[in-house]
Amino acid sequence: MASVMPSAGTFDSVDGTLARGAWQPVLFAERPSRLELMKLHAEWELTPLTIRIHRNHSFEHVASATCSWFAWWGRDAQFVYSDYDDSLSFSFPEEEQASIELVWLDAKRYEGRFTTEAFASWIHDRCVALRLRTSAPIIVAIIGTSDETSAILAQCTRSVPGLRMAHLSQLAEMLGARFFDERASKFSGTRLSDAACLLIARELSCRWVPALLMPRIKAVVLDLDNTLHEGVLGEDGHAVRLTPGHHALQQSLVRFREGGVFLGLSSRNDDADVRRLFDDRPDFPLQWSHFSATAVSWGSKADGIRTMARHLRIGVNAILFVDDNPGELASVTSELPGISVAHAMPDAAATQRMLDYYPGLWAWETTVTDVLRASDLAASIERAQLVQGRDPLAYLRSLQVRLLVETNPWRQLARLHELSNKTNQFNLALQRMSEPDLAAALDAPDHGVALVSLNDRLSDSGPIALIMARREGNSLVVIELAISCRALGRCLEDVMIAAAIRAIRSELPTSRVEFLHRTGPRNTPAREWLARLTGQVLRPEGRVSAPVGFLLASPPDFSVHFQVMHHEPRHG
Amino acid sequence: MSQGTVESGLLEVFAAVLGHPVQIDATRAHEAGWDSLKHMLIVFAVEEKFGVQLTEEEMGSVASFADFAELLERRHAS
Repeated sequence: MASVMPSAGTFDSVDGTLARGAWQPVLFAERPSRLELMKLHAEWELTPLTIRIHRNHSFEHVASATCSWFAWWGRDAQFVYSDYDDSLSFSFPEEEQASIELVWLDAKRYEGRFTTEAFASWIHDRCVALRLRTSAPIIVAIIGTSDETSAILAQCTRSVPGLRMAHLSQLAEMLGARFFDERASKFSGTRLSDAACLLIARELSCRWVPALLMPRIKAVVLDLDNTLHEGVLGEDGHAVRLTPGHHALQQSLVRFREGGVFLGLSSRNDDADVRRLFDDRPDFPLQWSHFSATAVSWGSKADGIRTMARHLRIGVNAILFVDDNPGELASVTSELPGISVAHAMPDAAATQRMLDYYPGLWAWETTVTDVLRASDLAASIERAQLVQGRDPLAYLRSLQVRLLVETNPWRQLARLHELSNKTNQFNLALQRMSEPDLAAALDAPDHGVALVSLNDRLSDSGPIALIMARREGNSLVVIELAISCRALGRCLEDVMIAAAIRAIRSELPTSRVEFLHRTGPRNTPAREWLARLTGQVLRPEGRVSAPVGFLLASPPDFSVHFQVMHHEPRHG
Repeated sequence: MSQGTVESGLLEVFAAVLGHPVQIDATRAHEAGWDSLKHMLIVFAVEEKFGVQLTEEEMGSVASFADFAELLERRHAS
């Protein structure tokens, strides 16, 4: 039970890969079968996680169905239950930390006791009380509310850091009258039907929890033949079949791309043949241009994926590889430890459901940064081409860079959280702060937080840097500095960091600036930057002063347009 | 549906829910692990396996392997 599995499907053995593939038809059936789920027993190591349930109706029937989905993700979920408590008193021992807090309510039990607004306000207050007792992510799932009430609840709780409101209306719509089962409620302790419990179990274990606890998968690399269409290009030519299931699968992949997930193509074919296929099949929702990286050749798929990862500037552990050939999955798994893999099933609709529920692919919200990701990569490639053979300064001038520095950016808590937790290369202190930690820093009078957004004539990169500092006497200590790799390579680090610190210092006047730093597995670029700035050889971990002239650094010999916005602190 | 089919189907359900094989004389009072949660999981799995729906009264009254078998045979006979 001790092995670490950073993402679903990271199995280095052929047996493990094949065993997980065999589970897929059961896990991703349109209507999951409890009986079939109960027959699945994981033969691989699982990492434990604890989910604490605060409830006013039974959760056990949901919990008992989650284990197969959690096991597929490599997790063993343990549930800790409160008593049935309509008042949500949260009387748990604070020293017992959970990975997730789940508030699980049936709104019917409050019927006639609240107006909608008063109910939403009460839920908000109780969630704030829970937030003060735990730093774990909070999920709130309430059954028996109308869409309108759900929207009011979501709006009302939005300001609670690290809280997500689950929406159950889609599931209720899917099951119609079968969502509830009043007949069994006397014995099961909940009005939910068994079918509803199964669907909620799948949401919880495949979407809600992974989206809060694991880094998001950044790219889906797909095989072509019998994955994206039925048939083999080399045998059927352009008459390969787009079944209704494959059509829906391709549409779903396009939606993933629009939501910020890169698509890659890995196929054993001739490159020109595959390009022609996409040209000749306008009925394919997925077009050649939707792929941000391709590796079409007769060589090893692992080599192709490695190259694609470099091109996309991501690690292979942020990639999900999908192929109908279990042998390819096993081979890629053994050559690229850490990669996630999944089996493309003959029923493309089942493959689509598998992708819809693949742990780490679904996100609670799509940010502007997500939407910009694919176009930003294309712009980066164009930038790299532009710079070749040109004077670097002339190139940088031609980009027409614009930087926006915002202080107190509490409305962008989710993006601050992403930058702190997902940035690896230019991350100086690797604090990996939770949303509640970030919210506390935003509220603290001796802390300053700046978010930098970047825009140039080729692309809008959105918010790309987080700088957080704390005043200690006469010193401003930069405790968190993270710049997305999307912003690197434009010689802007010095100017954007100096501009952000100047903006923070205008709110927290100090005479010195220091940086906290810590060595991580991949943050050499940030450490090299600091060593260059300070002229010091850095210890593995510590605190160094910035030279006096650093903050005066104006843009070098190319123009950068700055804008600074000081937002009001959240609590005035 | 024959008595043998019902029996083998029930054995499959009980083994999956309780996590161990059971005998056909198993009862709720004496079978290890057959608590109130598992009881409802058996009910739901029986409903799914045999395509039937138990009434609220039946859910509360079935208390042995034999009760389930008898209920299913009665349903399929009618």
